[in-house]
Amino acid sequence: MSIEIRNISKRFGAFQALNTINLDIQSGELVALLGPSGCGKTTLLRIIAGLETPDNGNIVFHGEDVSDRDVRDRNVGFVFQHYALFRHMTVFDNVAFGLRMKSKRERPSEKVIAEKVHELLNMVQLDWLADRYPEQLSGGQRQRIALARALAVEPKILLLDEPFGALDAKVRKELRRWLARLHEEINLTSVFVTHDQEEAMEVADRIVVMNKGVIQQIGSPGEVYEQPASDFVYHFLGDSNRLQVNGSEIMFRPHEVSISREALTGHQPAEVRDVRPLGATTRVTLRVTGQDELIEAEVIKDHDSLIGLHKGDALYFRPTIG
Amino acid sequence: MSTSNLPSLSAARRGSPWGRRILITATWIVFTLFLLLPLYIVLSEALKEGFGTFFSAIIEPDALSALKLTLIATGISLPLNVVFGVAAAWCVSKYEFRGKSILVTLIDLPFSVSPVIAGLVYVLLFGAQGLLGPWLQDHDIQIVFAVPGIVLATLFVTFPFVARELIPLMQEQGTQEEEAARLLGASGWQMFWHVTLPNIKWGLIYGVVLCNARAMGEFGAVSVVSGHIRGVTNTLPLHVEILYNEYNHVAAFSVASLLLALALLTLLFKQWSESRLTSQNSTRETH
Repeated sequence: MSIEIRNISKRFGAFQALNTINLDIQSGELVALLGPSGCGKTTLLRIIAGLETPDNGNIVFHGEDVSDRDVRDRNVGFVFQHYALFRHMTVFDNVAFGLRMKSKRERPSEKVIAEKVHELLNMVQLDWLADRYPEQLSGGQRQRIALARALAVEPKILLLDEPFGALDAKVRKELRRWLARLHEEINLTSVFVTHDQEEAMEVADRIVVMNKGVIQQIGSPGEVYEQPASDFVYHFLGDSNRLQVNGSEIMFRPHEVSISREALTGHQPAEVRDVRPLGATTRVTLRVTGQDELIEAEVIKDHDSLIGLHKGDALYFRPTIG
Repeated sequence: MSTSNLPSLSAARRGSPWGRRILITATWIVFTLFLLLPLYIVLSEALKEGFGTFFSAIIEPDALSALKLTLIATGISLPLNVVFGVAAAWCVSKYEFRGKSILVTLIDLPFSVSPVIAGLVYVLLFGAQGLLGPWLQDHDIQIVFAVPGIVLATLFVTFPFVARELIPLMQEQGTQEEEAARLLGASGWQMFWHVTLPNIKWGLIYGVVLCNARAMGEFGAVSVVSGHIRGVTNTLPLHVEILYNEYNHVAAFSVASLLLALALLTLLFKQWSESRLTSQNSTRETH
């Protein structure tokens, strides 16, 4: 089901949370709303769900204006950053909740509900936890249960608010790959909010970069990274260096650099301040005469120039762009 | 180094063994003098002339009618205050609105105003010479010096207990579980019944118990609006006072020990709900 966001604005007192947002999300797409905290991304997600009412504008699901429709009638699945599992219910009852709340006419029998719940718990690979309470689970398990609960009512749209924000780094990585795979399988129109550019790049089909209540750029991960529409997008999507050359300033990413131990043409001298192996790449921090800001260069770990390189050595470098 | 620091730190917190012993002894002395001794006196005075006099004082018609009125006033004000309390706590903790802090202050008003003044307000409002007095008389409605006045006075003084207990609990729990329930298709009533109520259950019971204790024991406000009509508008505390003023000490203490028994029952229930509440909180905080 497609989502159209038309001229949405929202104020909280004097704070303009969203300013005339327009966005089209295609059916089956996985879209990331990316931006720093306070940029309005969560507010936008809550407006799509119906948890927040916009001051202006409309939300259209599959050609149908749902702006005046109540939360419970929008048929969206929602996953919260802090899970929001019902603490007094078992995992099974949590997942069954949405089905049991249906009106008598639509409610399936307990037997059908049990089948459906176990099917969902198997999908998130946690069927063995059905009788536990949320407080007995780890963060990653809780979030997968929250996802199973959201999917139980067969929503047409899945909204995720910083779904991995409260998890530690390793679980976060596992879970977001798992989510991307799951999305491929069930192909549900999904929108997720994140402040982590790596997460957005890894999972999303398209990224919507937001700042201060305004959309900065919409594009595929490749587009927003390679062709940033503004300085803000450029800086937000990755590390960057600033280098003063003949009074003008050029910006480049740490990997967009060529380094050498000898003075080659176009290369400028620098002093090595730090050498950090990061796995597949090694980061060299350089100091250039004439500017306080340090330059970071990332090269593959087998690079010839790295052999025997120490702090204090001289190194020559050249940005490979611009 | 760091391991030897730990015990010495807690030793510093404990202070010298002498100081500890003196404090604990002092606490026990105060407790015995001001709580245990009066309890003992109430019971011993009540049983001074044997169980026969004790029971006849309790099953005397005026005493039974006082007990009945106390239970009626408590029985009416308790459920009403549960509804008011939950509604007020819900408003304060789940919504943002203008004048919220004023509302929270007003909820505390019965705690800060003397109960006698609360009673007087009702007399001034509903009494024969009061603001609404003539109108009530025309319609033959009796509020002051009758059961409705006693219920109203009890309602007023016990209003804050449930709300006060629930507001911090509901604020801490936030609104996300309720939002999740709505998103999963629950109606407002289903959300309250299946999500909100189970989460506040023990806090609510604790508030109800406190409310109950106060409703049964309330003297000041009820005394002003009751009119002390024996067998009609006397509650248990008022009945005790009348008997005592008539130098009928044995009967006074017998009825007092009846009130005491109700209080102890309430206290046991409170202890139980409190332990459930803390165990619920501690399991939540360990994660």
